[in-house]
Amino acid sequence: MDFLLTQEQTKLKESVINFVTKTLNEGAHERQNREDFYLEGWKKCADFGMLGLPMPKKYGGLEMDLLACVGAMEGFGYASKDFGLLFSINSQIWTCEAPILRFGTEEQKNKYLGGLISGTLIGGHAITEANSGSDAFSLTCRAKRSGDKYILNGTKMFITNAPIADILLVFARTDERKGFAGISVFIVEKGFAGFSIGKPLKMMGLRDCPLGEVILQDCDVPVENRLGKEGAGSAIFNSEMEQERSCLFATHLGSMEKILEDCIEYAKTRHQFGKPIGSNQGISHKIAEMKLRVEMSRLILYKVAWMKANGLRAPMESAIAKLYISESYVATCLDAVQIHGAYGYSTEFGLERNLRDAIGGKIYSGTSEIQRNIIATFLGL
Amino acid sequence: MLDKKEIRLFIQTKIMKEGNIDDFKDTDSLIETGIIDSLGIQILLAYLEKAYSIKIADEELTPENFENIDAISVLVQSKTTAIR
Repeated sequence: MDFLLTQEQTKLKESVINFVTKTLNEGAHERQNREDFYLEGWKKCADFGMLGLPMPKKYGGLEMDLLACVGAMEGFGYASKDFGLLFSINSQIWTCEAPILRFGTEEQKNKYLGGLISGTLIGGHAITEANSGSDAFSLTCRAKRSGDKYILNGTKMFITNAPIADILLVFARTDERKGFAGISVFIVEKGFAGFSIGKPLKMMGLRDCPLGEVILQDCDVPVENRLGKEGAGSAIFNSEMEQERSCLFATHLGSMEKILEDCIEYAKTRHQFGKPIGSNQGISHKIAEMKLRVEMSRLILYKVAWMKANGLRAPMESAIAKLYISESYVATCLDAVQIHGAYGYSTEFGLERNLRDAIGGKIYSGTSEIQRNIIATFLGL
Repeated sequence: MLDKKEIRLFIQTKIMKEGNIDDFKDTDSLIETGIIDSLGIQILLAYLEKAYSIKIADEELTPENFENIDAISVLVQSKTTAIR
């Protein structure tokens, strides 16, 4: 067993920390207050190679294995003050690029991957609807075959990147009789007739990550834009989620590590009643718990990444990782606010923003309750 | 020749948990009857890969391959034959 990143993986992580610290953080606080998407930052990330971390070199990617990606995302989360941008980027990589690479035809890969990786195209996926969230496969958006095209009708909700996306992977029902197996995926371009974006949605956290409604009204999609076979929707979704539940949540691990360091520093330098507050067990035990969460999160995350890098399935393990890390992140953010007192509660220092951003992690990519369902089902319950 | 009874038994005991599929034909749809759902297919997949020492790609998780017990056994058979 080896729990360390290789020298090359460590170097990548360090270079990401450097890049993010030097080029992405300035003005992050103001952008979040204005709810402004940082398009320039997106392009800088593309130039650095972030958008193509796991993608093959032939499409412009860096062709890193999943452990290297986890290390890089950990570094991104550690250094970043802009979790909205971070979330947007991860959403594109794991729920748009990765499925196109895995399930797409050579034509689809050639047409879309280069642009997504170089930053000239922005992508996302659209599965959630007003009445199908956790029960994702009960979606009602329909796709009807008509000659050499499909006609899509339906509305999608809470779609990450929708207001800025050039393409979205839209999940729609092609067979009424087959439940989860009757869902197919379509690469829908923003210029397709019948495609429009509804109002942007305001959320509690991740405020500079654009989120919106997608409306498909007799939207014509050429047959060649179907991703995978008819009925492959659930396989595509599950494949996306296994990767997202490891790599996206590596950013949470990185952020937890940074918060831990900041809390240690604060506990040593902040004096009350004539001594550092860290000399009180009420504070030091909270920090010890933070360290525990960081270490446990890293173990399960690296295990999942190792399994995926070695071609193993990890549906239960990725659910465990997602559940544990997302809940640990919220607990760590709450502790950090408490340790910093009024400074933690203030909007000036970023700790309350961390907390608002962290809460989303218990909801997106499958709620905590759904992760527990997955784990229980694999245990035969 | 692949013993379909093993697959049938697994579905009945590990996926359905209650009820039985004794009257269920090998050609009856597991999907349309709701016997297998999206999580059930992952459980079945893990079982098939382990029990028959095969790898099934995500791209093969299509309704045609998991529609019924016959389809599943054809898929598994094609994999085990390829290994030999």
